[in-house]
Amino acid sequence: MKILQLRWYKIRNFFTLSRRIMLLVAGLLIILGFSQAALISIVARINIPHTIQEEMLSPTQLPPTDKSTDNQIDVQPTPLEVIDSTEGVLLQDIVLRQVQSISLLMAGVTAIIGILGARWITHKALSPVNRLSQMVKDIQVETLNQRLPVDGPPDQVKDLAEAFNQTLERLAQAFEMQGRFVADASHEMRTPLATMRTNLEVLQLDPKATLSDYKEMSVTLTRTLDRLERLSNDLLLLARGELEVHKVPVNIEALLTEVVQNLMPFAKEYHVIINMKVQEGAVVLADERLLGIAFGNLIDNGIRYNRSGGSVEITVFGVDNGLTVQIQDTGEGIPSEELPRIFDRFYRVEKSRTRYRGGAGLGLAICEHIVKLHGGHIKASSTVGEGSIFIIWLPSIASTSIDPILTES
Amino acid sequence: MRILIIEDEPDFANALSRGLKNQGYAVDVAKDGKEGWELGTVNPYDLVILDLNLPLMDGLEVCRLLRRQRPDLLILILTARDKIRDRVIGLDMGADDYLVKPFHFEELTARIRALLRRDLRVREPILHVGDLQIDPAERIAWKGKRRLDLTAKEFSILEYLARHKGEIITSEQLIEHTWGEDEIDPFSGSVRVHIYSLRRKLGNKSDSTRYIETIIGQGYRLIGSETNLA
Repeated sequence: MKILQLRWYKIRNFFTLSRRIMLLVAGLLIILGFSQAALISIVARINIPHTIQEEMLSPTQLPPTDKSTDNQIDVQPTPLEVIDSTEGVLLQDIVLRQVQSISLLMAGVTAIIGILGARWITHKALSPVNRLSQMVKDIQVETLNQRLPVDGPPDQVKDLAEAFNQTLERLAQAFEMQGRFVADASHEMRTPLATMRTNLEVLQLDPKATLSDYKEMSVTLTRTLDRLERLSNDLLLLARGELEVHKVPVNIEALLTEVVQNLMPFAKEYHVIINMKVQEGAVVLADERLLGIAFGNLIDNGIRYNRSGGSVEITVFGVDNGLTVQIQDTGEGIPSEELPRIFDRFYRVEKSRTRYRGGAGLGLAICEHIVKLHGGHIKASSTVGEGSIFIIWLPSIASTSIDPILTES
Repeated sequence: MRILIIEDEPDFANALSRGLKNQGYAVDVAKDGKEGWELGTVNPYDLVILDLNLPLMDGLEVCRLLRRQRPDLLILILTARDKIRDRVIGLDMGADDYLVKPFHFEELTARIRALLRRDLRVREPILHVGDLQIDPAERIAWKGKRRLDLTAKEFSILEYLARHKGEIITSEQLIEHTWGEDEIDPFSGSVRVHIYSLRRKLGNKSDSTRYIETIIGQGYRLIGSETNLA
């Protein structure tokens, strides 16, 4: 079985595009050549006897017309025909064989020229493709901004080059985004690293440093490490792809209750009340941990940037083909010019920077990423001085696929 | 020498401030761009350490404004932005030096010393006045071959006077450049106390040489022994 397969691969690998074209063209020419030869020999076989007879009769007829009478002609044809027919058959054979061998030779020559010509044509026809592939091979990650020339006539090669250029364009954009993300991420890492190094070195260089100085520093270092850890967790979350999302049916009310409970001490500290109104039995297919992080980030923001005595209202209701989670706060709001950028990675609303220094500007980007991983979308609206509303829409699951599991639990 | 740190990361700014104070500098900290600009305008700092990513006012804007107001001010940008383009913009905006976080504290202090001797008449790393030698890097002073035992404040005063040798320096100038905002009692009386003690350690009593001259009603002047006026 394996040997058969191997043989098949060998055969398949032999028939490359250029060889296929070459064989096709050469085959066509050989068939044409030989069928021409066959045709010639058939036609010759039919026509030559006639021609020879006509040609042979006429010279024998000619002398009699010169010297003999009219009645001689009527008598003569029979013996003359007999003699002539044997000679004629000989002649016929010679001529026919000549014609056949010449046409066969020509067919052979045509076949050879055909194979060589096919080779040349294939090479010629595929050369723009070869050129293109050479250029594509020369493109490296560093030279992604290079483009293939598309100045030729509007043919398949041009189409190919254009399609490839578009792919390159998309790749370059993806690489640029990735590069910017890495640069931003390393930039965010530098500040806590600098904090740690400076704290350590200043104390090490200080001969009068006391134990309490070191204790104080250990608190600072722990705080900074927490921040680094949070940052690396956030970055990992953002790097998470669709394959790493483990979706199960999640009861939204239970999930939100848990998230809110975890944030309760924080809300008390900021003197913010959290109210929740959830449509009963609301279930989505989701990665519970991830969705919890997304809700947590939004509610955390709602508390952090709220006024003292303010509130965060959580409302969940079903819409025809999905579920809407709305989180509304009574904070200072987001200026309209900053609103379009709040989901950008590492973007921080100017005012938030003085209130909460530890953040890297990833919270909302993570929310959006998680919601998108679940096939949903998130949007925000805000009025300065009144507060912001974040609305998450998640697709609902077909009731058939979920009911049995629900009843089980 | 008085330094202003403009930095929004308190854990970092505190460590930096402490380290620089240990080196004998007078240090103030501003926690955002606006406060940094205000402090930089009010106080005659010798050097500003500036972060770029600042709330309320961007670091580059602070740099541009401070440079316009104080052409002689030394500005060192200390930031996490490490792209060549950022460095070029920062230096073109008027910064004198650019250091990327994270860095080694010793490199920062070496750069500060290099900057401080840049636009003064004294460019050698070690200051010489008469037979006095003052090493700002090690914060050690010698008189001839004898090492002087100076307090941090005395050293700062001596260093400042040595950097402006031959010039009359007022008590206010000494306070402005060697006392931080948070240091207690920055009155001229305290300057007098430090000068007195400094003179004593320089051995003025026994010597006929007077290093620190008092110009009554104006201030102090450091002169070398070869230009002995006594």
